[in-house]
Amino acid sequence: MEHHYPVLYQGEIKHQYWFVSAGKKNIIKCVEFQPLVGPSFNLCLLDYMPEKNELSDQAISNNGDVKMVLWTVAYCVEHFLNQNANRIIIFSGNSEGRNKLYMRYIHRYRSKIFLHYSVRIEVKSEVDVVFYIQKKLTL
Amino acid sequence: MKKFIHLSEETGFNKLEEVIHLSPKVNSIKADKMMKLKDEVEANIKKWGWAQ
Repeated sequence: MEHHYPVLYQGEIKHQYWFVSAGKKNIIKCVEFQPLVGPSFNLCLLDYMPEKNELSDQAISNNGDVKMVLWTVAYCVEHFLNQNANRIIIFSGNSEGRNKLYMRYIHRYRSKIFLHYSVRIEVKSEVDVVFYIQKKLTL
Repeated sequence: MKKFIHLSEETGFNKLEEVIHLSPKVNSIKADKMMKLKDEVEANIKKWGWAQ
């Protein structure tokens, strides 16, 4: 695993992973895995908005540390699937650019990723892309 | 937001614990979007044999 931010895991009630994105400014972020249907969980990357005491996925932070943030999210995914081997993680970018970014990273690190994980990418349109990840079961 | 650049990992974690203690509400547009895809997701994971 590449370098990532230190993560604080809150797994008692919700599956939440908290970290500080230390780029141009410090932004508190939270990766939450929300139960969707059956074994599937929706991955949400949320920014903490202190003025509203709210976690939101509508902020565009442009904090200059996208690579570190993505490695931190990857670390959270790895931890979650190690703890819950039969679960499936589903996620989608909120823009065409985001979806392309995720696809670029998956392609770049495919040899590492595909060794341990099954990945499916459902492309409905450039904006509407859904990613599925499951840990490969070892016999 | 109060900046805490260069704070140690321990201090950063203390700040995170303070925020977690406030139990912020989640406001996620994507979560709503994904909930609408529930049936499709369920069908796909069954089709691919991932639902074991």
